[in-house]
Amino acid sequence: MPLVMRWLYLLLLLLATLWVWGGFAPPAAPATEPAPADLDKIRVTPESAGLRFRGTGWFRVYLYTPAGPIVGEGQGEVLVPYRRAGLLTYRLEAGARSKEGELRLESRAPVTPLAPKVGARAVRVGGAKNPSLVIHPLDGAANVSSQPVEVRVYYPDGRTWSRTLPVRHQLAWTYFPSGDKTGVLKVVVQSAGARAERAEVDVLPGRTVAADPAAQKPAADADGRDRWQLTLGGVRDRLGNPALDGLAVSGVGGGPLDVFVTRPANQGRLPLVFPPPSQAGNYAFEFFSEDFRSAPQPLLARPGLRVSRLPLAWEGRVLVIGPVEDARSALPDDGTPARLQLLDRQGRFLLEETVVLENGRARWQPPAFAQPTWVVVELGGRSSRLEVPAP
Amino acid sequence: MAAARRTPIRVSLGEVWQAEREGLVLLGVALLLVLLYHGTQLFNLQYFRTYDALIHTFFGAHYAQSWFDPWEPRWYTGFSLVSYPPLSHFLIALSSKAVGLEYAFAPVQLWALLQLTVGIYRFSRLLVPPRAAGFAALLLVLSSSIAETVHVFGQLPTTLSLGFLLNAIPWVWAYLRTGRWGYLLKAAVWVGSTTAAHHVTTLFGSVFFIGPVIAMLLLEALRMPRPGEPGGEGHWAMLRRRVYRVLPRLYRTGVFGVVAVMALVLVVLPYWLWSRSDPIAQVPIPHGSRANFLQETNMGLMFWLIPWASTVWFLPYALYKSMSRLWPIGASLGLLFLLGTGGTTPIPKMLLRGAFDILTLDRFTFWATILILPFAGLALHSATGGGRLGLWLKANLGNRVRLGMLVLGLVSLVGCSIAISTLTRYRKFQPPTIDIGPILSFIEKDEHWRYRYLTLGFGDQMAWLSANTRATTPDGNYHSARRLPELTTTPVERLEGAKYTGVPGIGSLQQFLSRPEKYNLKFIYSNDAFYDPLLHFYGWHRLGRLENGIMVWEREDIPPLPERLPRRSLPTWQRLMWGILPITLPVLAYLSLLLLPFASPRLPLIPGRVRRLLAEDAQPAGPASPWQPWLRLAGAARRHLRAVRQPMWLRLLASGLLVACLGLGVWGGLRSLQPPDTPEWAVIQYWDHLDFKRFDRAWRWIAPLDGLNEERWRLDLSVQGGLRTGYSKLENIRTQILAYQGDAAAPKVGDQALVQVRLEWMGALQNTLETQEHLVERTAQGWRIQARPLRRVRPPERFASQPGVEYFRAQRRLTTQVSAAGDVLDRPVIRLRSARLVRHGREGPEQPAQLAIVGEVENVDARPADLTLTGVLRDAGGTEKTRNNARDLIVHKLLPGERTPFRIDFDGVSAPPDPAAVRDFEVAIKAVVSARELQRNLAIWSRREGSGLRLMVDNLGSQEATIPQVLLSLYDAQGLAWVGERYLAEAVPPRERREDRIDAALPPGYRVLQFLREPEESPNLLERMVPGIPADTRPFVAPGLRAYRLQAQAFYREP
Repeated sequence: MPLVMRWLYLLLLLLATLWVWGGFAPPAAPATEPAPADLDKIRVTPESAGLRFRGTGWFRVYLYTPAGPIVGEGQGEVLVPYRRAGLLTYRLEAGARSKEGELRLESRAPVTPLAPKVGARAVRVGGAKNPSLVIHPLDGAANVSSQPVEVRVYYPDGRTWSRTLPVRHQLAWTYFPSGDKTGVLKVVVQSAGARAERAEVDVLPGRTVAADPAAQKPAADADGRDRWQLTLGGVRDRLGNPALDGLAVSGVGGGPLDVFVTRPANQGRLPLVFPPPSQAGNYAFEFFSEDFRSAPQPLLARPGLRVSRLPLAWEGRVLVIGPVEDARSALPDDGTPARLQLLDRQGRFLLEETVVLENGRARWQPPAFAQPTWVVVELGGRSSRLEVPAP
Repeated sequence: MAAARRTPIRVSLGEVWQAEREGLVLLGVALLLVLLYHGTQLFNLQYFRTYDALIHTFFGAHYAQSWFDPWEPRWYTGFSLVSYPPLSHFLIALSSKAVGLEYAFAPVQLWALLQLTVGIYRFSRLLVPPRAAGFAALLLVLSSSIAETVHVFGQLPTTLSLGFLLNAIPWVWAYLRTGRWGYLLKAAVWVGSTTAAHHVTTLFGSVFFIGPVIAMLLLEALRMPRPGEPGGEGHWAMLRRRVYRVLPRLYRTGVFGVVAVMALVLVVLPYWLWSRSDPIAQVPIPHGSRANFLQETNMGLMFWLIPWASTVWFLPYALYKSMSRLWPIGASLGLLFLLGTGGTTPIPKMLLRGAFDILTLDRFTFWATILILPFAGLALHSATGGGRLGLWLKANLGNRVRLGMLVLGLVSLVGCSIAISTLTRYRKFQPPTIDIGPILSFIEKDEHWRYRYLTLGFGDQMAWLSANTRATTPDGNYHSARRLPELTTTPVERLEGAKYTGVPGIGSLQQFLSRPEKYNLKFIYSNDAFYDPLLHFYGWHRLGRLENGIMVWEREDIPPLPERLPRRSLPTWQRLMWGILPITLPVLAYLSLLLLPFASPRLPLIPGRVRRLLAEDAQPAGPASPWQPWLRLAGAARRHLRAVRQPMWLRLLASGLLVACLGLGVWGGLRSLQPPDTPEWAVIQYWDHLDFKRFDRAWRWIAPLDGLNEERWRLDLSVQGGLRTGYSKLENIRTQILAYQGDAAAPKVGDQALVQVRLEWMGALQNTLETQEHLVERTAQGWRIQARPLRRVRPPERFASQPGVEYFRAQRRLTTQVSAAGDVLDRPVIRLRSARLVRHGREGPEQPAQLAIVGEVENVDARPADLTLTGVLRDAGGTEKTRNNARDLIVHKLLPGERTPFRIDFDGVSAPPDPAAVRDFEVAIKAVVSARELQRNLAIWSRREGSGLRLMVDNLGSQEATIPQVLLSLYDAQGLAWVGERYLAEAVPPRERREDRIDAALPPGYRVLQFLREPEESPNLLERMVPGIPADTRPFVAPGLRAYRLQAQAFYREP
């Protein structure tokens, strides 16, 4: 058994050695060596397919490119498929000799379509930044052509603007004025017969300078349901263009309470409907947007309840709230909340509950505790405090 | 007795074979069970729900692609796989070629279990009779620790390496006894294979498994006389004799020790070189196995009770049996048992010292549950056959009771094993299985793999996603390899589950989310809405939900990864060594089984005289030395264990007592699970159930009033959105009884208590403290919380929307170009209105002052802008000290003409060590055109209240503002001085109002260090800065302040 195993191992080792030897064996050398070329007689010609090296005999070409050398070899003729413009160095080898040389490939005429890059794609009239155009006019081999580029800009008001741009440092570029009229600005470029896809820039209104505030409903009850109604219309820039959609308009108000709100204007108009706070009083509200500040709009928040004191009474240990009337002598909506806070002798907060009015009334039974407690009732912006009867 | 012991026992070969055959039959049954029981579960992909299996699959996927290149770029911005022994992963890689990556883990684990079963049989055979070894193998297959390790933890290297180790020990045993080199060779390759699978097993296995076995052999050698041994009387002569006897085995122990150390070092040499050159700098990551199991009972259940569930019953028997020649095994078992108790006692920490915080101590428990198996097998052997235990049971309890106990034990064992191995099905450890197909499609689309991604709420399935994609993530699931300071300085286990490590975990995640460009992090695949507010307020936005329900979040303006990522290369010889040695050794190990245990005719390099000293010529062992006190103890115990059949009434009494004890135990256990019936407990239970969304169980703690029913209660809950509805978790619940009506000592129905509960919510953005009061009433069912229907006015205007603007988002052009010029987003014009560097915070020896940049920016462009604001701090020499981005104290998406305050805090790992060293600062703003998250529906009312402001937030829109945020800008005479914020705890429904309060004061220690200078000639600053107080503010009278302004934004839940 061990003898068999030893022979088996030996056989496996032999097979493995043969396999490894076979895998790493060098490729067979060519049977006959060709005659080397005369390097001085090799000529290079740029073609659309690449660089063609011609000579007599066998030679090898190393073309040094930014991405590394490209190597080609052949008998009498070698085509190196490289077409990028610029200064190139190459090295020829034949037999034991070598020779180095330089070659400058020029770009050709640009081809359609040109790809202009226009940015920003939306500008504001009179803004600090004008749109710009950048273009790399490319030939068929993706080389930047040196041919000048002609730019023509068509404005929404029918005016045009044109320039001829030289190609420098592999690109042609320019800023162009955004104009005074909102709309779509079209950019067209051409270079040596090649044309571009049309580029567009949205010309949008400039900074807001004017608007017309109005209060449709400047007085409302502070009952949590009534609402003020205001509108900021005619939001426009210095040229009278209506403000762009989505422009932020801020509203800031002052009075017994302060208020801050920001909303987007739409088509130069911002309707604003919002409830007054729970605290009644006179408020002044201003609109702000960019360079515009409106005159203060007077707003009135009327008390939510007509009564001066909350109608509260104890029926045994049950607190009865109501009947309550609102500012229009009507019963408040069912569901109007009354907030109840239970406090101990030290004024320490024990419990908060909310009950809702039904037919202007609500009932609430506080928990029965041995210690004396007080209840604070808040309803419609008013509050009252009373002692809870002992159980 | 002594004479009887010396009587030679004659056993025929047939009897030996009969005994061996019984053991082998049991082993065969055990192997079949492995195939049927564990194999079925493994090939049912049970391991997709485990903790570690997918990590090993990820490693295996790497080797399947590039066997000899251990650099893995997909986690932690790149790490080297030489940080973990590769055998398991090589096997998965090979297996994946046959069965595909999804199933690749199963055959490897199955093979590991088969090998382990054979290993435990062979190991047990050294210590106990064959039949007992067979029982040990059976017990292994059904043991709770194997069920947990394989089907809950998904550990493969542990099982694989332990199998190698247990199979190596018999060769070590044989070599030490015979001195044959063939055995040493086998021991070497099997120990080497152990190292290839898991070096820690070799390291600790040498101490806890091989060490005791060698100790037993050495002690045995002391009792084995040798020809020509020194004679004489007295201690000195005896000592010389003993040394002479033990010398050959001691020498062979030394030889084996050298071989084992070489195997440990050479097999994974690149690992040792890596760990020396790149030591782990990770702060300790908490692990449940280090907890005090009495305090953290969940951890005790997971890391102690479950693994011990099937074998802990054998501990007394193991202790009893250890009082024999097996005492080294017993001592090892005792030590492992003790180390496995984690932080329950101070002993493990004292023994392990610094390693205590690095090691996962459940490994010790696992090894203990393996080491006890020979004893357990022996117990079963004895109880089922004619052993002392069986005789004793028969004599004292009767044969029927003995059989009943065995059947009950078997049923319990099987039931326990099945329950534990399927634990992940009915107890959620991982999120439900995620179909990663749609994510992979998304990653491949538009070359999204050129950016890094992060997963949230994937659990260990993040490894499965990584294994199937070429995209990279800064997160990972292998702690030893991470080197990013944001990860190594915090105890966060994985970013994707940051919430489970509390504030440090969230802090670590926040650092990645606030400066995503640092790691080219652009996409987040979220399976957990908990993080949604954090992502939203940090400037991320939702791209949409994939077919598998995963939400894709994106951050704008993130550069793609460079074409070539930095990598750390290993020398070629190390790569070859790593790729060849670990996989070759197990092959050699199995081939070595064919090798005969040859003996070398001479010991190399040993002179002949010494060779004679080391020759194996010992005679059979004599009786055990009586000096060991535990032998006397065992003898005494044996004498007391009488196997004389008791009368029927006594057997019945004993059986009755046994049943009573069992019943008492069950009753006590059930009683301990009964909760206390107190008002506080009712409140705690209610909130706990609500936190885990167990609404039906929460409802049971409600005492409904005013006609409230469960349906209405659930409806009321559903309309109360906000931070606590899925966006935060309860960290703490503290209760206090404010008032009590009735006799607290003897509560009766009708009693009432007012309980105040302080809830500490941990959110992804911040922790929130909430206080609520509950009126709790004693009912016939116990204490219950009084609750009424929620009655709120729901204005009809909520259905009437106000005009707004939605932006059209054009699809990408269909093009062959990677990035068409038309797809490159415009950069809107942004104006920096003001900025200043401030210092704030109470300084102390351990808490230096903090630095922040505050200022305002405005979108002066015609399109909405998505902002990224970066603050840079420089020292006097102009060298950058640190940089950070504005996080949630800014409105990231600005409407045209809108402005926002911002505050950039410098804290976390990017905090400068010394604020005094900062001399200059910069603010860099970049933005792209955006069309997302531009709702502006909130109006804020405010009034002065003490040192703060009372806020009333109105929702003017028609969609619930799920988590509203109010930004407070405080102005002094020079302009914006400070920015504060407040998240409302409750959502604001459409056309409704919610109140809150915000502090409105400069922070303590506030000091302006520097105002941003406006460069006189800057080509980039097209708009001039605007210092001073803007017009759209309100006056504010406070020390150092003139005015304030409020601005609101909100996170809107996905409709």
